[in-house]
Amino acid sequence: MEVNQILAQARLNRFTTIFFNFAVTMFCIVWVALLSSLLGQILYFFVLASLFVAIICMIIFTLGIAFAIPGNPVAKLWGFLQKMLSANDSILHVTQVCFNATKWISLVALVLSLIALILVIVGKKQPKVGKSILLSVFMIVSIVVFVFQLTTGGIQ
Amino acid sequence: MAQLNLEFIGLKSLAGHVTVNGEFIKLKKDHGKYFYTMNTEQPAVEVVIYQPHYYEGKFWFFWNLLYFLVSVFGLFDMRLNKRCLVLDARLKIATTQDAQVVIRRQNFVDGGALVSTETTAQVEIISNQQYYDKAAKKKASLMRKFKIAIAVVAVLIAAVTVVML
Repeated sequence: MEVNQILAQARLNRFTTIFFNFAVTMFCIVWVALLSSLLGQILYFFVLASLFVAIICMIIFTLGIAFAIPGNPVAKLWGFLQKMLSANDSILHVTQVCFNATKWISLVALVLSLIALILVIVGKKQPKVGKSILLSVFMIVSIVVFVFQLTTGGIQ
Repeated sequence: MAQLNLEFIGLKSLAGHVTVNGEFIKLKKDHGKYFYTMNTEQPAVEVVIYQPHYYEGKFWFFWNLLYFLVSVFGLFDMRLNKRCLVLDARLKIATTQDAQVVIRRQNFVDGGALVSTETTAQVEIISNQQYYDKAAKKKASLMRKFKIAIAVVAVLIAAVTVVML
């Protein structure tokens, strides 16, 4: 009787382990995606800042060209500005997509870390200390990112 | 009412493998040793330490196939002992008075004793052995071949689907 009981428990433990491994692996994948999109977000601000500087430089440069070369300065200035804006559109679009993806990825990361945490709390899994610390850090950061997204833009 | 103190030495990963009177027990770990204390009015307590392999029972093939599929072709599955090690010890400990029992794991010898006990209480050993299950090893080998066949078929199907699309 006990043998069957232990075997049933072992089978259940195996299923739990499979699920736990799956959750942790998916969590790590999502975490990498989150980092990538965060990088995109940083890049977004960086691009904005550099665009600001670039635009000023371009205006000065364009004004210089516009007034240095003979002809209608206003028409030449407008042409240069148009070219510059159309070139920067694609960069802005990519960084905007990264920015929007961050909140969803942080939400998925949060859900997966919660599943892992519930498994630890109910005692189905006893991960080693390193793994627990890693999970806790992941979770805290994903909560921070998620809350940051909620307060700044909100989940659309 | 008598108090029984159990101390397990040298047995790793005992969770889900030890029962006392047919019930799973929660062990306290301290410096590599596991402890369990209980109060009982029964004259004897049966302690079972059993680590099964996954090729037991009528439906071993079905179960292993299910694990294989659920774990995405074994990718998320746990590592199993390839030699199908079975640990089996059943002890009946007399609890007419307070007892302190130290259960110590023995070094592995195929077919040898799993544990030795140190106690002043009367202990009846019903079974005490650790061995490699050869029948299970054959089943494991068969299952491995079957898994490889399934993986090859899956890859072929995927390749054909990609080519067709």
